[in-house]
Amino acid sequence: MTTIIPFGPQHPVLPEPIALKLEIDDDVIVGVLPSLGYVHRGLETFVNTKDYNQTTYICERICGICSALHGITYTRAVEKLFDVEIPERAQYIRVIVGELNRLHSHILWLGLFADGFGFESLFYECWKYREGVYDVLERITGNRVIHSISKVGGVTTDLTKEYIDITLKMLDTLEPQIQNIEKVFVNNYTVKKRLVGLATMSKQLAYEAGTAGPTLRGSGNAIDVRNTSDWDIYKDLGFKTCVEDGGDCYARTKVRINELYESIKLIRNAISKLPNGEIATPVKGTPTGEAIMRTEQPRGEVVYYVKGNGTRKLERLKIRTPTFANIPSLLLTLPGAKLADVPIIVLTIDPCISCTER
Amino acid sequence: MLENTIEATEIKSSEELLKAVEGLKNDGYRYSTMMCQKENEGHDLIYIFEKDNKLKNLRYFVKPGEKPKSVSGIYLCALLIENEYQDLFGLTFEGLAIDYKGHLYLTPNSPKAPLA
Amino acid sequence: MGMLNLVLSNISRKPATRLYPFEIREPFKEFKGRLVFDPENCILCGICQKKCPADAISVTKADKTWELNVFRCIMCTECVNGCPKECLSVSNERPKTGAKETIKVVVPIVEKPKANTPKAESSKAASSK
Repeated sequence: MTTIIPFGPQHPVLPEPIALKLEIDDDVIVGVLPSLGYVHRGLETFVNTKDYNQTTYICERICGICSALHGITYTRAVEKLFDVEIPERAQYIRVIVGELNRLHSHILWLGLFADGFGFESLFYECWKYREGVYDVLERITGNRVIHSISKVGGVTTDLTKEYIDITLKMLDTLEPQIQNIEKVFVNNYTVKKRLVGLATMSKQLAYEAGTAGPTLRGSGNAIDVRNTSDWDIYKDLGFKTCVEDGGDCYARTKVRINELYESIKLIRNAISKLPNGEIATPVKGTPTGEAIMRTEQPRGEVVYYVKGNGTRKLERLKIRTPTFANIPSLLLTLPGAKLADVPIIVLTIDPCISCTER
Repeated sequence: MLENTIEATEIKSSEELLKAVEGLKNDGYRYSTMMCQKENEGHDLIYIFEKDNKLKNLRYFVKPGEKPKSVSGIYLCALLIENEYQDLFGLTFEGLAIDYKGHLYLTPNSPKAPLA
Repeated sequence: MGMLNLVLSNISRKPATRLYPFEIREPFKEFKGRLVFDPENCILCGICQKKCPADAISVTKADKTWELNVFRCIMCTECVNGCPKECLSVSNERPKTGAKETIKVVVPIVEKPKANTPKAESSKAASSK
């Protein structure tokens, strides 16, 4: 006989509201039904009331954690409509701020994950280190959470010598700190007992389930949008895709930790190669046509579709966020798991529900 | 009229759509997402697939009153986006793996098909 | 041995947090805290109102007022960059919570030095009526 247990929308491990109806037999899950809709804000309709410059600020407010990357993706999509080439310096600054964003997002996730399996002191340790990244971002952009770095045609703030110095100094202190927490996540006996072999997805399954980001790469698929032709700049910076073959929660954690080092490397390379010049080109006129833009966010690939009809307002904006692609994978991984492991499996896709529902 | 449109293969009928999607799956494509927008009284659907960092798009026009076929039987992950468009555009997809009947986002007393 | 090191370093280390109400960190000089409006040069052109993505600013030409809804303002500084007369600036001072919802400023339009031309005088006369 099966029982139905609601998991969420309010749950200690979930920062955001998502409800999963879990069908359990004894304490083993046999069926899952996710239900969304607690934070749907209708932002895709809202863009019809604002012009394309103002929409940047709406897109940044889709998510608080990956806000800079949402803004960067949107502005790149609109630049594709206009067919303008932005200055190289602006592209580098976008990469630097985007990677700083990824750094603090992954450290946040590591902390939440540690909290999810009951390792409180590790949670505080991670969030303590995250403050350093936030301080740098606040000094560069002037805002703590919503950075507003990107605008159509370039970036809003220049990266001066002073900011480069504080960024490099922060990275130098952050790297040993990450090595510190990596030791616990990768080698600790209790943590390994809890994560290894949990919610395993084979390479084929993860690929066909349409997952994105670390969930996909944790199963051995070397797919990262930073390799595509839209992001040639990452090739110049020596980007290497982080892949793990395990396919379980442990592998996904390792992918994220390796991406922290990768981000640090990318920021250092970008700063050393930072060209001089303008930070923005003026963009005039009205957008027409349609364009698709993809970016690798901390949680996976985000797909933006924009359509302009020759007025200052966009006709259609469609955003496919990474969590939207990862939620169906829960339908495949949760059955067979124990009820006590559900929080860890749900957290392991790094759910961002505000992103999902827009 | 539109400049720089995205490349997309036109699909005429829903049977052809299912066949094309099936073929893409056998070729090793990954389902990315689907767009929907109002056009000429009906709805314009753009399916996006991805393989080796390249996108492949299918464009299918849903005539007014037509019930498009769901591809969630082929790609399970299509069910969320199709349910979303049932909510927001008032479409009805036939053969959905999990059908929320227009209540994925919306509650019984919220506006009907706000984007349509 | 590693454990002993950890214990000793934790005893001798300062706490990572601050004792908040008694010890307040100074905001960074780049921090976008609050919008400062200087009505001196304002010409009530309304560009800030048009640029504002959050509809927080409303400029009324008839009453000569400039109004900011502080609760709506998102500190994007579009208005600061767009202002032709540089009346708007950003202060790094943290705004107090629960402050007034709107700030209303009456703009004293100062006549320009070229006000001697007959056309400007006539418009001045018309406005003073």
